[in-house]
Amino acid sequence: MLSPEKNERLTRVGPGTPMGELLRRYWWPVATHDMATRVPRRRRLLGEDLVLYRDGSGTVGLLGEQCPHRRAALWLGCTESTGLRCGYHGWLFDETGACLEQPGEPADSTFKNRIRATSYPVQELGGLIFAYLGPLPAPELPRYDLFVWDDAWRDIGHAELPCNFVQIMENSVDPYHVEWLHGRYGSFLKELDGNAPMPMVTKKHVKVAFEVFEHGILKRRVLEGHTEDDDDWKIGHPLVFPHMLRVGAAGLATFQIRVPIDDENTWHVWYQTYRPEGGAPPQQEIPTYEVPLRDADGEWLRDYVDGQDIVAWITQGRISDRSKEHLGKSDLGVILLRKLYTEQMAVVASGDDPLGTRRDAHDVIDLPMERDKFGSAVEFRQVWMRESSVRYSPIRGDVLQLFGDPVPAWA
Amino acid sequence: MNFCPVCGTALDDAAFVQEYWAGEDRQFLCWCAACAAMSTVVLAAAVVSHEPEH
Repeated sequence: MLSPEKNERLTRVGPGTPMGELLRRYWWPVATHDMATRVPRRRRLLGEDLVLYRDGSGTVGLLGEQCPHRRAALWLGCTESTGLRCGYHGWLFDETGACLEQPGEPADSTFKNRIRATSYPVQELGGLIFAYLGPLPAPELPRYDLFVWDDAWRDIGHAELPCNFVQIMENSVDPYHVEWLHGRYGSFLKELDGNAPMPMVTKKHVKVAFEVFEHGILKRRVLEGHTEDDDDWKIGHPLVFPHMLRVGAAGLATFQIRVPIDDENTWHVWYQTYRPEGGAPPQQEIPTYEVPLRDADGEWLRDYVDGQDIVAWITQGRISDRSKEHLGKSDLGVILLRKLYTEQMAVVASGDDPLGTRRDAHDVIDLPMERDKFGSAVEFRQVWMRESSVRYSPIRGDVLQLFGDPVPAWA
Repeated sequence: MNFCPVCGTALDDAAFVQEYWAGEDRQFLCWCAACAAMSTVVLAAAVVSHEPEH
């Protein structure tokens, strides 16, 4: 049980809330690269309504949704060679929020010099557009390895999930769910369909450990039949604070990025890299795709691993009522994460930078992750392409060919 | 839990208190924003010890 007051503090992400202030110290993916076009697009991040655009010069801008003139939405606007022009009266703003033109005002007016649209810094990296909504100067955009490798292919799946981001993050420090949600429930669904279970997710957890380190929480486990000499324990894989999980093996590595749209909605991004031994040839463009949540009958899709996770997160409610939960020893990772969020809120309140923010220029941040985790690499890649959100990737067959793997009919 | 078991400061909004169960014992993990100590308070169903040979 967590008190209602502490649950509120943990889950409210808007401006002025303790969690909102913490989260505003980080760069957030606000869009995939192909969402920033000449056509302005509505985005919502940390409870703030925004408009994303790419002007004629290629500059990406992120402005508050409302025009400072008469409050019309700026997605009702035209991108010019420089900046975004409000569709209502033609006021023109650049990416810094400066007002460049006020067509209806007298030619000698200096009024525009005293007007600014709300604007936020943006940067493009690895096919994502990142935004920073916090106090300036902004920290460096962390160049995590998967975003910057120059010898990997990528694709980016995404979906809007109707729940708070914390309950999604808690899943990443809850190893036991793997053997039950995916191992038992997932196998149960497969049994009903006459299929075999997935052996790689049915193994029992013998031991788990969580260690706070410079990037977040490092998660280690020993599964049945394994030892502490296996990568799963020796190396583990990280929850990257405050918003990502890194998972994978056998040349596949994913960031699961949980972006709070607001208190009750999360933009979930599956950022996948494919890096065979010796590297991959150049990729022309990073494909993006939406991950569906429901089947043709309107039922939640749960016949695959990520679908099972999604339904477990969503069915906790828009904001999980933690005053009614009953945690045990197997939930210590979840407790540690909640404590870490609380601790880092206090760090921000004291005026310091929270865990994982970088002020130094850097080329790449290498993160730990098991290499040998699930046995046969070929078999793992086949299962991953079928049982993860990558099943919806437009390049899944190409990826198996990239690794020299057989391409089954379903791919 | 109203006060930090380590420094006695009130465990207010900025602190973290989480109840969980270990068998029959009700436990509270506490993190104090004042002294930064993390502690666990156990409301034990029974105090289990051993009796030395005598």
